[in-house]
Amino acid sequence: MNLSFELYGELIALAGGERITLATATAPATVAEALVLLADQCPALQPRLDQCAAVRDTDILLRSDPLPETGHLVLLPPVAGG
Amino acid sequence: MTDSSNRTHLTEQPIAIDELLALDHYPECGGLALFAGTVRDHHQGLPVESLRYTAYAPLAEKRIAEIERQTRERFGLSYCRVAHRLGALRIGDVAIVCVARAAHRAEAFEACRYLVDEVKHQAPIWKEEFYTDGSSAYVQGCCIRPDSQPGDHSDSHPVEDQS
Repeated sequence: MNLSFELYGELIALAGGERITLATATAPATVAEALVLLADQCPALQPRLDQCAAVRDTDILLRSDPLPETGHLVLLPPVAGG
Repeated sequence: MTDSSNRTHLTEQPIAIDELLALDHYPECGGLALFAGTVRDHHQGLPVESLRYTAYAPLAEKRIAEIERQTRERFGLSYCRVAHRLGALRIGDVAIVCVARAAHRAEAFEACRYLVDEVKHQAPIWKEEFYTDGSSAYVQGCCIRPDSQPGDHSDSHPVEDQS
């Protein structure tokens, strides 16, 4: 399946783009497993991923939640508005 | 009470403060507190030339609407509003405006501070600073991951007020 990650904030500079797509032989079962694959593919993101919220549309997912069927996650680093 | 769930809280245009005050609509309110956060020319000893705000708009809009609703309930407000700028801002530009209207000043002041703090800590908005030496950096922020482990995030609630 294809996994896609939409990036925001400093993640964009670290990854070199706003989106990363991975092709995997087997679908990861959980958000946590998907993020492990992302860290393997993009080591520059690895130190930041623990502090990122993983989002489907407007719902923040737990690491133990099933990966969305779309294989798409939005990753939000620590926020700093105001 | 005002339902703000369908309003837009993010804008790439200068914030029209007068439109947020709703001065004529709440005769029961004797207190109006307004906070305007502006872009300052320094941060942690570095001279700042400009800022750029970005957001994950779908969730930022939802979160700010929730914060407004929670604030009205918590402080018994008749009205509160938040507006946040996105895009490129210069020194002195208004980045965020929070308005709280209450029967008395104490609730208005408290609610206005609560609004600002909650938006800073919960809304997915990011601030990139551009310094006079040509470098840039994202301001350290607050983790909004709900299942983070205690101790994982020393910066989950920075002490310094970035406004």
